[in-house]
Amino acid sequence: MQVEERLAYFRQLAFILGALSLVIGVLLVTTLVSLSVNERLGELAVLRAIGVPRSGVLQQIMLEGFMLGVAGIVLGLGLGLVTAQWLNAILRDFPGLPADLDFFVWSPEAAWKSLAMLLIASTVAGALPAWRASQMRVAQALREEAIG
Amino acid sequence: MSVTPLLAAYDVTRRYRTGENDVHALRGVSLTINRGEFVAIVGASGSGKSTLLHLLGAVDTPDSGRVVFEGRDISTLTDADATRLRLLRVGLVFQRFYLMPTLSAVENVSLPMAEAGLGKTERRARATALLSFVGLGERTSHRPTQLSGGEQQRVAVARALANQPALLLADEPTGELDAATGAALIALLQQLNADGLTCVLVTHDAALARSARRVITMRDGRIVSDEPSAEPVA
Repeated sequence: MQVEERLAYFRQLAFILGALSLVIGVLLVTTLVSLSVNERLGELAVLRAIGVPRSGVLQQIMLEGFMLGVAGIVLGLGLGLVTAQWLNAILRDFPGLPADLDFFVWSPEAAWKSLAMLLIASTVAGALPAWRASQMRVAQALREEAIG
Repeated sequence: MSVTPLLAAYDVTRRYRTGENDVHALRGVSLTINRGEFVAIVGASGSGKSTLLHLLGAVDTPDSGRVVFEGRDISTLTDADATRLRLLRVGLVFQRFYLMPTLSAVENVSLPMAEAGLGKTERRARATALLSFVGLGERTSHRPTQLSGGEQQRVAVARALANQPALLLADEPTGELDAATGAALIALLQQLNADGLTCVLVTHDAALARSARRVITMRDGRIVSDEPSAEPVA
């Protein structure tokens, strides 16, 4: 019972850290995509001017957010697995613990859930800058770009 | 028999805000442009020439007055309809070339065709032909960063021609080019015009405007003169 209580505590801690990471990740993707949009306002305005519809700009920028998410997942998964192995080795060295105890158990179900959640989160994170870019006033953006 | 103009503006006005300032960019401008004309709009910076070009190309809408293109009032179009019109009937070239940096020259030219729904084979064939026409047949797979300024502007011209527009609008197309490259680009525009394409060019350079057959001069949001070019320069 005591072990269960302690495990529940660790699960809560892991959940809080995971949720915090997700929020920071969403903010980071939003910031990166916003910066990218601001740097390319002229380019996006010209895309709109030559006949690319609002939805085309929206899709392109949301795809950028999605791709950032994919890159984050690949890097995060790799680093996470390596870090888990490393921490496992440290924790196993604690006196009195069984040598074959795993503190980080790989669960395909949890991995798929996390993957889906991260992809959705990164796409949503790109949605705000994508929406702003798609709603830009083309003539105004071109004027501002011409002024420099 | 009267000729229906390709493009006409009737008493258009346009005002916008820049920071704290209220800019009266156009103060009742009227003009007509017939098919096959090569028109240069000249004037000092802030005279309203780019704003007029935006209205003529359905990039912007006037506060009052009407713009009629191919017999259709384009000053009240929805954004989707204006976007479609620009895609299919108007070619636009800008001072800064704004090619997509991750796409090759042929992919940049193909972009408007993809939006128009053309198949991949036809897009590639037409884009390659257009790049050959503007003298870049050997550089179709190059990215913008691998091209000179003049070459990038030629790609931009090819992109503007992608959907065989009825009207080509160019806003300071030689603004970032050296004199020789600029002259080559103007020769290209003249060639397009000789082939029947209606061209409207905005420039602050009066000498450059002499390459057109008709020169419209603007000052303070108004047309102050509209006359044939004294000596169209090839």
